[in-house]
Amino acid sequence: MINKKSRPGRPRLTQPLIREQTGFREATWEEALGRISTALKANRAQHGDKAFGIFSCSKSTNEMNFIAQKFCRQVMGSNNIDSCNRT
Amino acid sequence: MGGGTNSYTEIEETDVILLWGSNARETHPIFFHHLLKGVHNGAKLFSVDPRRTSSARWADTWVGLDVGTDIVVANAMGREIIAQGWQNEKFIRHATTAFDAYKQSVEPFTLAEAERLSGVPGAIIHDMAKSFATAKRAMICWTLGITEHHNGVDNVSSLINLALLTGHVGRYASGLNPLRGQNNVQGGGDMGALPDRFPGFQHVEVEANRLKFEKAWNTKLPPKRGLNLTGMLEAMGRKELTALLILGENPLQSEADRSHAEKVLRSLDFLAVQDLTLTPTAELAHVVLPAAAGWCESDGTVTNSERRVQLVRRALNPPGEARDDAEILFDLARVMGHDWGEYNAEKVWNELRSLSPPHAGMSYQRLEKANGLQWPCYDESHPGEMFLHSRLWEEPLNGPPVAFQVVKHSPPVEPLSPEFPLRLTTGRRLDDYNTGVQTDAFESPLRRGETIDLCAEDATRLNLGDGELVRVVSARGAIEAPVRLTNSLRPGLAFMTFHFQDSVNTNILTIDATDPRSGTAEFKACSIRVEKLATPQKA
Repeated sequence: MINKKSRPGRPRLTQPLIREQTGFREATWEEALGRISTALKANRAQHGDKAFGIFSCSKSTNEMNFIAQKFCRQVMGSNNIDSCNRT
Repeated sequence: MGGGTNSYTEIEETDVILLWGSNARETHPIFFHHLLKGVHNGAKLFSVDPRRTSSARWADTWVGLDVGTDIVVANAMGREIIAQGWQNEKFIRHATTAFDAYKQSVEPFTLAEAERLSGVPGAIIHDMAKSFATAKRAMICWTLGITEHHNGVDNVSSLINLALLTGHVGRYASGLNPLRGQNNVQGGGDMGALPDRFPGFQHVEVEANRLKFEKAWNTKLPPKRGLNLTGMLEAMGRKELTALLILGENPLQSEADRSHAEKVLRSLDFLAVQDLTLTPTAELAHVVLPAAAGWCESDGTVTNSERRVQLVRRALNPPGEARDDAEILFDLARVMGHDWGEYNAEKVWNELRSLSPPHAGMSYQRLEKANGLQWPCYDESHPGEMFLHSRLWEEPLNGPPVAFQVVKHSPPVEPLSPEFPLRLTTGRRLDDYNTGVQTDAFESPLRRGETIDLCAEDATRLNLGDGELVRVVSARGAIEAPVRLTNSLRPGLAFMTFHFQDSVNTNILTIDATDPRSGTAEFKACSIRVEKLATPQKA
């Protein structure tokens, strides 16, 4: 039988990662958030508000879920937010 | 407002429990302890489930219906209750509408017809109908066995009809209770992480609601509802949704029809993922952000299946530079030109309280003192509500009456066929949690890895032995897994989990036929065949 007891869990992430041609490299928070901001702004300019969405998390806190929908609606102008509470 | 109508402790004092499409013994063990107290106190337990689960072993009666025939059994119960005159006429007249339409719609579901369609003996349906309808108190509890179907909403409606028919709702220890799968499924929806609702279940398409949030946030808000998760995946397939932020989800492994999910996630122009580990979904991202664990490395609140909001407190610091999910979004908003100030969980909660009436009375101080409060809780003198919908019993009726919903039986989307003659239903086991992101690294003495569970009759017919590695094939793909013989299944039914997808990708097999209203996929029913390998081997 496989996987009788423990499985090698994936290690915790400890730093932001940015994907390059060759794979992930570690980055600072400033660079990672800047990269996301630039990409989301460019996407919105090119494809509009409805081209963005968020999958939110049913294991995280109420506060995080509140902020996630606020970010989606206020910052991104999109109602495309949902959680895994459908599965 | 959507939530379980009763509190956990009420099940300890109820008389009849219908546990429908739920293996709570393994998937909701805390709630099951309350349920067991009810059983010890004399409650009669019916376990309605295609599998004879470990929960069913505590039941007075196991109602082993065929997958996807829940409406048949529920409607037959309704018909039998009416035929025998066990319905609560007074409650029906006082608090409901459309009874006549309901009565007419269940008429074809005689005990004999239900037995033919569902495989459940008519006498058992009669017995369950009698026990439920004539009990002083009765509760229906359900989980994904009801909702993970292409007609999950209709399945739920068929159970609500039974409560309306008998008056088993809106009273102490009588009600309708969906058991929630994650520690904060309830809260995520309550907080407005839904495409059509602001926090507190306020619909985004109601102008007054939108104006309220526009004023609070000093911005214009989109007037039409957004896409649910399934709709977003479809929009990605059409290249209409091109940038996605995933917070602590692993859709690559949790969605039905994995190959399709992977294709659309890869097609995104931009994907950012926040999670604890580099999940298979995160591996597809352009930027990955390290998050703190919600339950021990963050401050905040979560809301359970009995609508109780509880404080969680940071007990450990997250590793390295990992940070609280909400704090990360605060920073991202700032970078994008929206300065919400310094992040503080209580400050966020107080903003929510100012916008969501059912949470208005729940200060952190009160939550701490009371060990949690149950919504609705409209002001700081409101104690919160133990059970919902007591208004239905007020004289005169407080608010609008509730309508019976006419629901039709609709079998699983994928029929059995000579090519795919076995029904596969998927679910969870006690030792592991969903795709394993949070449970992989922990040891368990019970864990046995992924298997395809079959009954001895099917295994014998297919010439397969316990532990033998086999090929499992559906119309969407094929995987290999070892056979496990079990006496919890009847001939024709197979069971797998999706806990071990790094080794066995169960969702390669599942079908993404979804309920158009809930967006939930039919994880509970697809058609497969099991093939012996050319060179038989033990797993």
